[in-house]
Amino acid sequence: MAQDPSPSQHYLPCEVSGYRILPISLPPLPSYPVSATHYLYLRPHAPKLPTPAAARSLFLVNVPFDSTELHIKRLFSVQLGLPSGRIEEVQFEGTKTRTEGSENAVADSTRQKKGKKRKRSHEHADIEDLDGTALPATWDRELRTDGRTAVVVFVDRPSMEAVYKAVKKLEKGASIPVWGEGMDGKAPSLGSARYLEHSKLQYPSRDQVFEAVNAYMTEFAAREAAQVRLQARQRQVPDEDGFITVTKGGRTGPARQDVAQELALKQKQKQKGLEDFYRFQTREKKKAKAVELMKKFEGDKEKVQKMRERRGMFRPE
Amino acid sequence: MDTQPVKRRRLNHVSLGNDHQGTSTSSSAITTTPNSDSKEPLPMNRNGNLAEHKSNLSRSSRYKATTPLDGSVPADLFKLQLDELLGRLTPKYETKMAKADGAIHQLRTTIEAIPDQRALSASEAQKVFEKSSNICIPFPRSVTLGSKVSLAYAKPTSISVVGSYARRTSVLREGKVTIDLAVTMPSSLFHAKDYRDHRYFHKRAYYLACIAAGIQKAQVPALDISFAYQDDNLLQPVIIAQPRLDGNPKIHSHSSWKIRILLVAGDDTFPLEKTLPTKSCIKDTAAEGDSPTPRYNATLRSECSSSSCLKELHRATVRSSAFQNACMLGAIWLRQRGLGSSLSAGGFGQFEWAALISILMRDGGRAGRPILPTGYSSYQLFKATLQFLSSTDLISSPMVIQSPNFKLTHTKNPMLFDGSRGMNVLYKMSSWSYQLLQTEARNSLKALNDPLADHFRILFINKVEEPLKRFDHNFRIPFDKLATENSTFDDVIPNVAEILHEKFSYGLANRATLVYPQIPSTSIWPIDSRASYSDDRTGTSIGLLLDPEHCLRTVDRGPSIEDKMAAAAFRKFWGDKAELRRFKDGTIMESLIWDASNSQQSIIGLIINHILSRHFGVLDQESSGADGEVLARLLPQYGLSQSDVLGPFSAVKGSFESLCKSIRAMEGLPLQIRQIFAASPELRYASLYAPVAGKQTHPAKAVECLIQFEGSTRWPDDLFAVQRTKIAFLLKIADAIGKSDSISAVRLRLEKSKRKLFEQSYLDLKTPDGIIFRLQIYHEHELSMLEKALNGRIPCPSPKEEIALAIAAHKRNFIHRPAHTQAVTALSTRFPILSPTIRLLKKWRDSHLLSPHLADELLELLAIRTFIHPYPWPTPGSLLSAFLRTLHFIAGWDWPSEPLILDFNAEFTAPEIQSIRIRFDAWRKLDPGMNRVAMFVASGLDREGIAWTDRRPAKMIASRFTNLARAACELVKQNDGGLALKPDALFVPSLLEYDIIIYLKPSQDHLKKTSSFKNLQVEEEEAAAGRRGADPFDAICDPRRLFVDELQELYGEDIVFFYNESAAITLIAGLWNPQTEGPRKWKVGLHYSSMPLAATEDGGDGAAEEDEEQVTINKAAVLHDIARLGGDLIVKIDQK
Repeated sequence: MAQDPSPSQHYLPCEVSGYRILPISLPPLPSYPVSATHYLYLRPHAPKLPTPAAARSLFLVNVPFDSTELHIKRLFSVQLGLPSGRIEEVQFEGTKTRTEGSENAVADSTRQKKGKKRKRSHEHADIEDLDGTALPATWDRELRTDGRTAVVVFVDRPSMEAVYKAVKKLEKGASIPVWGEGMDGKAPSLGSARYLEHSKLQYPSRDQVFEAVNAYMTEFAAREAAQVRLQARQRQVPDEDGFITVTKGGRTGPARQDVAQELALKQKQKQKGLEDFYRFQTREKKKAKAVELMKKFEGDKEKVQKMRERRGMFRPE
Repeated sequence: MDTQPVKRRRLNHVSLGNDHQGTSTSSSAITTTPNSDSKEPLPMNRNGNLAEHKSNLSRSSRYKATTPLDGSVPADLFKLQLDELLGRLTPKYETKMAKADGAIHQLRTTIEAIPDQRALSASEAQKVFEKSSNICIPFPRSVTLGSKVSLAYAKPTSISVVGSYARRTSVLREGKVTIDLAVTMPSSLFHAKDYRDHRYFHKRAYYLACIAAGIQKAQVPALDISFAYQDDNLLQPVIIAQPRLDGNPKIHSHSSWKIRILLVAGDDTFPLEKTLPTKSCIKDTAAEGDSPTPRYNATLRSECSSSSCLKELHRATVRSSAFQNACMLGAIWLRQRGLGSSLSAGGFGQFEWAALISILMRDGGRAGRPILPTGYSSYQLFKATLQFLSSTDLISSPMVIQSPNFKLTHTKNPMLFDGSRGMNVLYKMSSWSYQLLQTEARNSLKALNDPLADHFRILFINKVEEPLKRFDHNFRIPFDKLATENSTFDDVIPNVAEILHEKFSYGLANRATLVYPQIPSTSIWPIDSRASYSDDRTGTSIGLLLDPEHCLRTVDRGPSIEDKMAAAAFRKFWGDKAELRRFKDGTIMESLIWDASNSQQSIIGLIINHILSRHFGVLDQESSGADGEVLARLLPQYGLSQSDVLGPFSAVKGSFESLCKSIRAMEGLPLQIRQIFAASPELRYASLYAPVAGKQTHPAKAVECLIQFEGSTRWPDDLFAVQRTKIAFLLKIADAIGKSDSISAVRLRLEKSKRKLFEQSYLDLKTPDGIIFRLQIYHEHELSMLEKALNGRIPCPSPKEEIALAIAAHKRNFIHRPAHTQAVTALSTRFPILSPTIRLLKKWRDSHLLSPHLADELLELLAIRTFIHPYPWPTPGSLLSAFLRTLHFIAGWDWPSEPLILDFNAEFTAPEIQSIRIRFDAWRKLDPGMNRVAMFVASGLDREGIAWTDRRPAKMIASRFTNLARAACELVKQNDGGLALKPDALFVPSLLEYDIIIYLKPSQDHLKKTSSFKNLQVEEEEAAAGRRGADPFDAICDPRRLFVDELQELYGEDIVFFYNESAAITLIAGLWNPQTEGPRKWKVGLHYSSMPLAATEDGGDGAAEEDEEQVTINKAAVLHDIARLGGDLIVKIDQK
């Protein structure tokens, strides 16, 4: 399994589906003394819905599970020779971003379908995003558990292009970067320390939680009240076309469709007459029973046929 | 075989047509009844079975026949199964048996050609015989031959095939069939008084030797002959003829038949009244005196009534068309239970079965009316015979038929006296084998009444006889200890078995419902040597069926001191173990105290050892056996208090009670508490480790429970707001309860998840005795909100699949878990053995690293099945039998096509069962690959059947589970039926199959840091939470566990992980998921760390071809990732 990256790299394709490949070396560890190579795929960011920052961003696929913003920055600046401070932000898939409105942009390529649902739920997502309503975090360092893509936003386009070119150069045989080099102590460490810290963080301080819950509930109540008010108004005031919107909470609330259907079904059942009133009904019932018996018999025969095919069903143990 | 199905099908159609004509006019009871033969005739073999089709019954008798028996047996299926079974086990008389028929013909002519031998005195005849051949005459042993007896040989009056082969009711046994050839000795050879003192049997032995010599001399080609005892009866040697080996063992093993040459005498050889069971026929031995010799008499009579017996069976065949098949069904049923005609197999076999039915068809009822109507179908006959066996006790109320003058004396053995033949049909049975037969009959009937049991499998397919599964407790006694007084070993056996049975029945009293000493079987021996018992001289084994209600009792009360005689007998039996005690109610009694707490044995073991050493001189070490409780020693906290199985859990139960009390006593909550549910294995006696106060030796888990408040409209109408409200409630509880004395520490715990719907909040509470509880709020309105969200009636940002998962999780956590806990608690008190069985099963699962794949609840249900649907065995009475039977079920469970349905309280109706089966079929149709549901387990609590098996175990794991169980059963079978089994061997995992093995650091360093200063710890426990130093909840902090969980989350799709969660996790095994292993096309959303595959040709840039875009999982990088994630926890990672 252990493979020396440089010779085999020669035979590897340099690109896959228009993505450049950046090999990263994983040095041997005491518990796993094998050196391995991780492959990062990247290309200039081109989201379906263009954002202003897209032009100066790179889209990364297959980022290592333990990537942090610092890891990526370090990889590009120290190891690929970009001057420091040229990276504005790293947006990992599935995490909230600092820049407003770019939330959709990150996951764009993998989550196109879900876009619609997200819009509808905007009001909910918002409460959580407000300052002070979120519950305290239980991990000291997030891992990339639910997505292996990221968008790196550079301060300007030339920086992005410089990195992209540096990757190409690497393919020509320069020494490949080592993952996590010089990162010791700069990010919370993994292993037992991480889990001990997690078990501690799972018990957040009472006051912190209390405040967060309070803030959340206050906001929730406020929104609910606003919603009620809005609905009340909608009930009373016709809109511009002259219609009155039917909303939740009126005194004589309109019946729900499914409830109405249920009622109709019940009524129908009530109206059904007796089942054995006429002779033909009993006769038909008998006939149906006979047919059923026949069917059952055929089914049983099939079952036995199946059993026959399986071993041991008819051989006493 | 190939022509048969065609034939059968045609018959079926014809009969079905008839059936419809017939039943449309008769009552519907007949149409729906499962048992009427008219439904589906039994097309058996090709000989003489059509008789059964042409049922000669009038309609009224048919109707009568169905009434007492119509059960809920799925009629057609069962019938079809029976047909198939009988068809398979019937020898092909015309084709395959042709050779056997040839051999029979040859033997007949050979025997007829043997020249007569004039009568000579015994010693003379012996001398002459020994000169002419090397055959050793199989005289009855340990009986000397009187000098007056003369021995002779004369041409037999007849030679004929008898028994099941003649009646065409043979049943193949492992593809073989035994053919009985009866040679009738001429009555001229015998004197009127030869019935006495073994004289008949001496003459018979000489006659047999002459036949053997004749066959030997004639050199019948391709036949090997040897001697054997008929039915282990030492009075009845017979000749066994088998196809010759010819140095080619293959021929022998392939031969499908063997011939037994039996000797019989004419019916009128001896007068009937001389051999009645009450008569004494052996007078010369001083020991026996004039006491009756029923077994000797019956043996003699059975030889002299062979032809009348044959006639009787033939008459029954003519009278009832179903008789033959009923005999075959009975033969199969008996055989699967290890019962047979020979003494070692209990003395009740196919012949006795047939004789019993034939007797019951002509007699047995009130005023000499028959018990079984001749119009019964074969299955009805079979079932009615079982009913007769189970309901009539032939020991206490013997049955005498057609012999009004015969006066019975009391016997210990069962008696069914057939006056027309003058003998007890059950003469070979002992009281205990009769008890066993009755137990089996009762079990089978119970199974037939259970609509959830697979009747066909239980009655005819399952092998019931394996002692370790059949009996609750087994032990073995060496023979040399038993045969001390009487030097000859052979004669000792039946008598010794009698004594063993008597002593142990008395000693164990109502602790055991059955004491079954196994009589060893005899084997065949070469004609030129003397007979010997089988080489298996290791001893006789005794099996016990225990009554779990009584078998753990520690104090036995004997007779009162006033009853001098009984007290003396008691003292004599128990020796110095008997003590005189005064009890609370003032009585003074002889008594016994059994204290197993300091011993390595259970109470049963102690009693057995005491009896063995006192009455048989066997010391503890000499008796070996699979102690029923031997497995219990593998359970933690079990050996301490065997008499109280649920004892280890009393601490946690008590703690929970007081917790509930203090929660209910809380003031200042905005809502009233409706209920507090236990929802954890620890609270239903089902966890491997019971939480104990103080120091923990194993990874502790929080004991989970739920709290439900009374309904209120003030709960928010929003899923996420409900979660926050729950937190607010928990904080309130924490504030209120924190002041109480019954809680030493309390803290809110958050479980966050990327999937918002799965976020949970708990309250961790530590009681003063150190047990940690985890409280969660159950809000019943959440479910309807989730369901509405799924239907899109209220907005929810989560995707539909996630909502569906959340609904399943909600049902599992808040509805099924507490209900299951309650049910298992109730069952554990109903069946004392259940709790240890569940715990042992969990230990077994864990030691085979299956912990993450099999839900606790699934195992509990599997163990429960052994108790509520125990068939084909009775409810287990010991841990060993319960555990092995559970494994046996798992090994044989055909989960791809069979749902497991459990009925805790016998509450299911037929349509309910049907609806569950339909649901199962729907799952299989919906998901034929079994990707979501592999095992389907429904119960009254979960009619949907997937609460504990949804998505786990996966199909692959489920088959590994069954394979492991199969291997365990095999291991038990190989070890001498389990008697030589070392139970630990069942719990050793094999690591060979795994691709990856991750070794974790075993030390507990991170915990030691905190407990170094005990005093500080106590202080800090009371101090504010959050400090690292000494956290009260350190006990449940397990980094390895968290690591495994995270591994599962990160790599669960690529690697299947295995570990043992009951111990500290030091080893994680993994298998690459075969579905992710292969190369696949590159895409953005691949969930694993990929690497591009080397291109076949250097394609340059840009113009990438299809096959160049392939990537595969980067295994080295994945393992590297795991190593980085585990960091200092991992010692090393091994890979294949």
